[in-house]
Amino acid sequence: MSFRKIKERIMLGLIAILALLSAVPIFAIIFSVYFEGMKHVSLSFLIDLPPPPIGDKAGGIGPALAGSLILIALALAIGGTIGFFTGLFLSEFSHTKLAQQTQMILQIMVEFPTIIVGLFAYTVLVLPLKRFNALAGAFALAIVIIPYIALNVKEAYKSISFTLKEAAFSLGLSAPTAYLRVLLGAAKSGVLTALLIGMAKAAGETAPLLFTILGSTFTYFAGLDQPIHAIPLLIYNFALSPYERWHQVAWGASAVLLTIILTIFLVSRMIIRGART
Amino acid sequence: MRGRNLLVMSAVIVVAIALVIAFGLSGIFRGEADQTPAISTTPSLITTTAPAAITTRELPSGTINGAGASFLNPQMQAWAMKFYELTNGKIQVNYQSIGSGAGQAKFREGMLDFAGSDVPLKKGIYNEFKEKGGIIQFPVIIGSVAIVYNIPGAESGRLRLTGEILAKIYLGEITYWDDPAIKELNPDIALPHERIIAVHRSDGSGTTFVLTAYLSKVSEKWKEKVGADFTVQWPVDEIGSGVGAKGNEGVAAAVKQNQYSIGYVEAAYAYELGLNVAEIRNSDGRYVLPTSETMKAAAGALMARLPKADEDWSGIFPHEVMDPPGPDSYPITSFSFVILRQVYDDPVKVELLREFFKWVLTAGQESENIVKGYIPLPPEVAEIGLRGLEMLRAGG
Amino acid sequence: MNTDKAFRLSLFFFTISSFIIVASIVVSLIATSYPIFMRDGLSFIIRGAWNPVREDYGILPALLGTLITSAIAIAIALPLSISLAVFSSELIPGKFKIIMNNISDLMASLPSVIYGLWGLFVLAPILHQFVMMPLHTHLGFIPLFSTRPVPTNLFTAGVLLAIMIVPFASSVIREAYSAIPYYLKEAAYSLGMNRWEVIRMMLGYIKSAIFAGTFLALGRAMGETVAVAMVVGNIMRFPKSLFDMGYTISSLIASQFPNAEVYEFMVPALYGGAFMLFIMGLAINLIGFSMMRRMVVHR
Repeated sequence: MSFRKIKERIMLGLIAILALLSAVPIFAIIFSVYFEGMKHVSLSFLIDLPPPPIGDKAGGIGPALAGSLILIALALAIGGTIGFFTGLFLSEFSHTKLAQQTQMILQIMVEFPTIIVGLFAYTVLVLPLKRFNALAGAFALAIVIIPYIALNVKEAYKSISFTLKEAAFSLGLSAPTAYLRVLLGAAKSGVLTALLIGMAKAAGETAPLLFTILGSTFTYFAGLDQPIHAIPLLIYNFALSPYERWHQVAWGASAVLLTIILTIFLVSRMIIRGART
Repeated sequence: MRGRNLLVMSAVIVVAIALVIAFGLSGIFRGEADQTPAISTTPSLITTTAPAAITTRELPSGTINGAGASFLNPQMQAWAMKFYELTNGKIQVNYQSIGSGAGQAKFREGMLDFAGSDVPLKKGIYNEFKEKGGIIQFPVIIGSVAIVYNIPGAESGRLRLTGEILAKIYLGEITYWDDPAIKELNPDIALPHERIIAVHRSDGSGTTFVLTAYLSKVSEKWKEKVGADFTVQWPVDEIGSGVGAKGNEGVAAAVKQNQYSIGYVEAAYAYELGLNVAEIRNSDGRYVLPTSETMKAAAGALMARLPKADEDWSGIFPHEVMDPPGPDSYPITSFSFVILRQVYDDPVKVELLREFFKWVLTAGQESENIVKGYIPLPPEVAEIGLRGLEMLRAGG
Repeated sequence: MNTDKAFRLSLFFFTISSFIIVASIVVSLIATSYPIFMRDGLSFIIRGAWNPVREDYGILPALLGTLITSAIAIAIALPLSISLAVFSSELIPGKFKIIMNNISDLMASLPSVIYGLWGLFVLAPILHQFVMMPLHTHLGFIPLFSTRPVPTNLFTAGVLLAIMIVPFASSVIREAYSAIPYYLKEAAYSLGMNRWEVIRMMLGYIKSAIFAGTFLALGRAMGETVAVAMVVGNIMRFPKSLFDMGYTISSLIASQFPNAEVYEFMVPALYGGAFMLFIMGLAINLIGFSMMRRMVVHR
């Protein structure tokens, strides 16, 4: 075998090994989370209050799960609306200077350290209200997800064929009807995927919540101006606590969070595949 | 105009859906939580510990939000859970462990109904509140800082230290275990010529505040060079022998992992996590471990010096009360505090706070409500809080 | 046509809200950090101190921590992500390609708190026992490995970050790789190049994409908070080796901000740190984007 041949073999082998190596952690993580976490997950785990740190009460993550669902819904309502219309603007007025600058701003927002967003929400919504509150958390999450939704919605509308757009407007439809009824049908799968991506982000982000929502032990939901809990915050707090019991709850909560993320991921893949065929 | 209507409508619908989901879910979850006996209690407990006041009188319901000291957390969670059960879920005490400094910071900003802290309110913050209606602060549990170490061959309770030596170790002046000063106190331990690794907290912490206050009391040099606070700049870090760790558990882990290390944790953790605890010389010259007896003895010795709940405690606490007299007193003993405002806008909040903390200071101090490793207050100290609670009032 | 105008107007309104948000964030960062820069000037950035008792703050060690952890992350992630991109677009058949890409996308969407939990309880002890301790024992004379490691330190944070950023870097590279015109590849094979030589040539062709991917991933690594805060050790001092515990700017904010309001200058100091982080991130992302644009032109 020539030197070139040997070198080719070695390099291709190396590439394959490194590539497979880079995929090892995801399996290790999924395995650890389910292996450590599922022991503690049950229906009552999803509903019950968190256990005291010392003692062997079973307990659960009820307030955190309820809080997370509420925060996700609110973040989607705020961030989804802004993101959707921004995306629509980007796709339909892509030639304008504003669109190009917006694109830039959104890309910067994607890369924004989310802890800074948390500080910002603290400054504008927690300090003035003099209370940790659900709205501040939802607002911070909304800021985080806007760029993801906007950029994906833009791609969705961009992918609509020109002839369809022509047809919609030649019928004499008004812009809102054309975009929000007729063309939304064509862009449906893309828009839905965009929202799902935003949802997954909102479900998993911790840093924006660190300074905004405080957390809660007994209360599932007390109002938008009151403290609320969330699964990622619970995992962070419990994992860094000195109590074995809380570490177990953190693993269980991670299994729940991972399941939510995996479900969203699979659904979005199914939508994309459905759109292709 | 149709377009605008459509737009407004779609926005309204999105928001409405979100709100419906939000409120709907909360309703569902609340309902389920109320129905399911998720928090099972043995009936005997309720009958033995429920004060008559709680079961017979019509209670207000609601949530009070507090946060602060992590040391207080297990005990506060136990109290909150018990009280939640006693009141059939009507009074929900939400306590989040964010650290003593953070508790005071957020309390200062008016974001918490109460703060938990291992040290009383800082002077500056106390004065701010004095103009705004005043403060109530009182001890709820005894706490003390244990000095822990990892020297192969020297089991728990063997090592003897003094405050001065401890100060010198963290100042970076005593750097080896076989330093003559340490050897002299410990003739029976074979102390090796190894560098002392000094572990300390990296996050803001009441434990650090209490320890550094103690070091300031026993060492003039420490007082001048470092001082006492939630976070200090450790001189020992500058000579490369310091290790920082987050939380009591972080310190415990770092001490366990590093041979020839020394560290400090709340006494309750030291025993819970199975660390070697050092004997410290008290002001009577005796070497004592932090035990329930020595901590109670120290708390007893402090009693005469304690201020009233609405007074400024920062003048004597924790600096002055460290190293109290008495042959059995453990020198680094302190209290964990709860800090309240005197005036709250909401009359219901006032009632909730009063009910809960009255219970904490009476039935809450009975042994079945005290978490293992924590030391209840002497009744005279609990009295400070009970008096203080009388000052709580609602007002605009 | 009134409808269309109203519709456009509302589109415009939603679009500029992103500008408003970013502008207000920048303003709030500057306005809040202003006092510390006024008091200390540049010495706030070029000194190391975290002494609230004396209200003395200097964030250089945390800045270094951010740079060191990101550098470790990039050093590990770069070969991995290039390999992953090449492997999935060149070396495996279509079906596996989709699976591989899905795995990579899934890695990108896992919450950082889950990475952090796993990093703290699984990765850190493993690295400690099988990587850091052996390196320290046998190669401790090299300054990089001179500190006796505890499980959570800068190195652990760097490795965890590497795992987290691989999918981002590799997806940028992957896209560029698949956009290379097919005739180039054909031409290369017809010249008698073997597969590795073709891959090497193609990688050379998308060099700017590789840089862009690296810079975007670097931006991620520098801003990551929660996962890093869980494994970095959180101690303020100049790191003496890769195995020293440290802070990054974002983990400093996460662990110190809660108690900052007790002190006079800690809030401005932390916002000052956030502002520096923002500037660094912005610079790196702008470089990344300009690379990406150059790549488009190049094509």
